[in-house]
Amino acid sequence: MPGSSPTSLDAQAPNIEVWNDLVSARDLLVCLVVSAVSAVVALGIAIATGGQLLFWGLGGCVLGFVINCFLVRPKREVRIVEDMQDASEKGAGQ
Amino acid sequence: MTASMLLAMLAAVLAAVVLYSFIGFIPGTDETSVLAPVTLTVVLAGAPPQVVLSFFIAAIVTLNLMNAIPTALVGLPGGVMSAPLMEHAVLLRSRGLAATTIRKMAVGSAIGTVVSIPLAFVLAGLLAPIAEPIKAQAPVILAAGAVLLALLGHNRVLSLLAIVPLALMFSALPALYRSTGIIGEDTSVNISFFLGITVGPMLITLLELLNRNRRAHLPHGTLTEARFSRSGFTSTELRPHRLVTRSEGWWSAAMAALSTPLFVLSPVGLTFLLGESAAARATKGPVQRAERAVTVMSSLTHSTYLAGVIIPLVALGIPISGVSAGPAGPLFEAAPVYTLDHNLHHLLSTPQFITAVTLGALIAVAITYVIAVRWSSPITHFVMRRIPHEAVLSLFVVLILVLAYIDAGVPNMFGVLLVGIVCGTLNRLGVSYGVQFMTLYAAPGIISALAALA
Repeated sequence: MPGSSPTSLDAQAPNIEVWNDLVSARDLLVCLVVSAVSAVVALGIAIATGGQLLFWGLGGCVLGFVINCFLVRPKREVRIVEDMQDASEKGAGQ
Repeated sequence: MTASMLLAMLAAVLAAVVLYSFIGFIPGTDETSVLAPVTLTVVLAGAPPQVVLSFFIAAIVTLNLMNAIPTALVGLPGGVMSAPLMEHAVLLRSRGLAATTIRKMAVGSAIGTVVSIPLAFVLAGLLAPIAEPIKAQAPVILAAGAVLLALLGHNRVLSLLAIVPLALMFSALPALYRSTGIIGEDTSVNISFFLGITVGPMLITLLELLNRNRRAHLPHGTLTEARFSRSGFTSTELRPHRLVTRSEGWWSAAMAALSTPLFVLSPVGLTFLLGESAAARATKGPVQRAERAVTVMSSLTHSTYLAGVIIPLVALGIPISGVSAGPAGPLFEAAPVYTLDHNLHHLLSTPQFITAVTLGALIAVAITYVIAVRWSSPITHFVMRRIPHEAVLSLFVVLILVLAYIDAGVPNMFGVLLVGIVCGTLNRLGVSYGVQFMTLYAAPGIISALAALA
């Protein structure tokens, strides 16, 4: 199982901390592009059909978010442990 | 008040609870940047003032409690307001007390809400006789507010130095937009700038990723660890014998009451200060101290936020506290729907205020209590496993750019980028959000005073 190392200045580790959590630069780029395209398309439809910019724009943002949730894996190692004492030994270091 | 209005308010409250339950569990999301854009959207969508207010109150009650939960469960802060709780929650978690911690937080939040709302209305009533002279001097008061927040925070000289240059930028950009015909004479783009301030620190980090050298110096890691205790998924007892001890209850109520008149100060600062001083007076060892700390601090996060919104909104209609200038900003100014002369303060009567606030707060407290105690482990688990941080970051960036575009087209998207870069840099240097938001509102006054010196 990779990655029980806490956040450090080790530039070899693949993920970068942005806004208090780890992201992969490549996945972030993918997400930004997907979100931007989704929002631009939604705004384009709103302008072409004379619809409400706000609602279409918001819809585009939400759609992009949902797509991204399926596209990208969170950079978190989630485990359910039996006994909390055991987990805290490692977790407390963060 | 008609039945249909009550139904709309109820729907808004439920929507806020559901939405912010999930947002609250996402680690690291900052309150201002998750509350302001969504509230603004609700305002711009044309929701009636009571509905907007119920939504906002329910949102802060939900968010403040849910933000604290990842702290208790996996030791990751859910947001800025949970920073004071971190140390104590991590200690309790290491003793296997996560479930108790969450119950105590939930009860603390209920105490903070119930104590601060009536007190905030009373204080707003006491302020009312002197409200007119204060309102007449709004430009001076807002400028004084910016200076006051600068003097009360850290980095005083730096913050004072930042005020006038920021005011210049906030006034210069709209002047440029008007002179080039990007916006009309009476259009305001303040709200875009407001969002630019909000997103600033995150934007700076994102831009840093573009510089190979800077990128290498950002903190790196492989995976964020999140470990759950299995018992969190099975134990569902809603009413154990004793949720909080009598002393925890009294300390929570007393500190909530004490924090209410201090509504102009920063909520995080107050929570740290008053919460730690209450915890320091616990004598029966580290566990008792930490338990008192999480209860009292949870109460304080609610009381400081609620007082910071309710008092300026009911008494004055101009944002004179950190909370009202920041997360609650769209309740005061959201052009073209609300302006400083025409916002919730002017549109709602006192009984309407009381109904909307009470409805939003009480329903949110009741539902979030059940969610927190019964489903916090499954929800946090879901969010940790399914919601990538990249998607959250992209959502906020794009949402703010879309709102900037709607405000004043493509030029304004770059304008917001400029505001974000300047404010994010200042934020990183140590100029707090509060000073920056207050300067945005104070900018017209500061510039006319400055012009007199020309």
